[in-house]
Amino acid sequence: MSEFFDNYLNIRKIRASKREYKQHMARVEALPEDYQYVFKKIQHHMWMFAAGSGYDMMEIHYSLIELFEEGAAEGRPVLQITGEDVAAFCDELLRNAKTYTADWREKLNRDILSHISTEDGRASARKEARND
Amino acid sequence: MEGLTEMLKGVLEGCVLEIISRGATYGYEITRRLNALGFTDVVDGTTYTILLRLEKNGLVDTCKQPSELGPPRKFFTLNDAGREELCRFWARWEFVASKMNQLREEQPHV
Repeated sequence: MSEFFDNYLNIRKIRASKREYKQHMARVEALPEDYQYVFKKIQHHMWMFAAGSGYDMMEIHYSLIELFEEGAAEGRPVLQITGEDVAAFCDELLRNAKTYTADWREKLNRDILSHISTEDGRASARKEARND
Repeated sequence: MEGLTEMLKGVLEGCVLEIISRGATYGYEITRRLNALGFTDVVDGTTYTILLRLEKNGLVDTCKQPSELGPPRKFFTLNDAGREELCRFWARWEFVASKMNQLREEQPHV
């Protein structure tokens, strides 16, 4: 089964993923309130950029819980962990996930490259024809 | 020094690789090392995203060890690919640094 169908149609995988999600979110609920608030804000913000199945995004959020648990255990304020520019922190996290903006960037370059190279191909073909 | 965030963007990854090359270490310790060095704007989150990327790119090995406080800590060590990348980083850095000095010291054309 292709990964695509596996991600969207495999009931067992979807159920396991839901169970895992609930377990992780229970860990979030155990964090101090500020941490919870920032975690949920980050989660919400990052989902807006998700592309594909989003499993990679979820993995990033799960490991983020660990970072927050460490910070909370040391009694440090959450903004000391993320920095005050939380959006910049999200941008860096997003570099590790599939995003639709990255898809658009790739498409832009691909479209232009294939257009220009076929143009080049035609131009050089015309030149060769003249030289003959 | 403050206000270095933009300038440090491409450089921090090399800093973190260099720090890890000195011996197994974890996120918080790396952040403190960078702060002590004078990069005071660097927070744990910054180090964290860099470590995430190094791990994803296969440049570091990780192992978890229990800590007195909170969940187990993830320790990072450099592997062969990481050591090669570190060499490439310093070569790039040498190039940039020498060119910057050259630019500053160039005699103005009269």
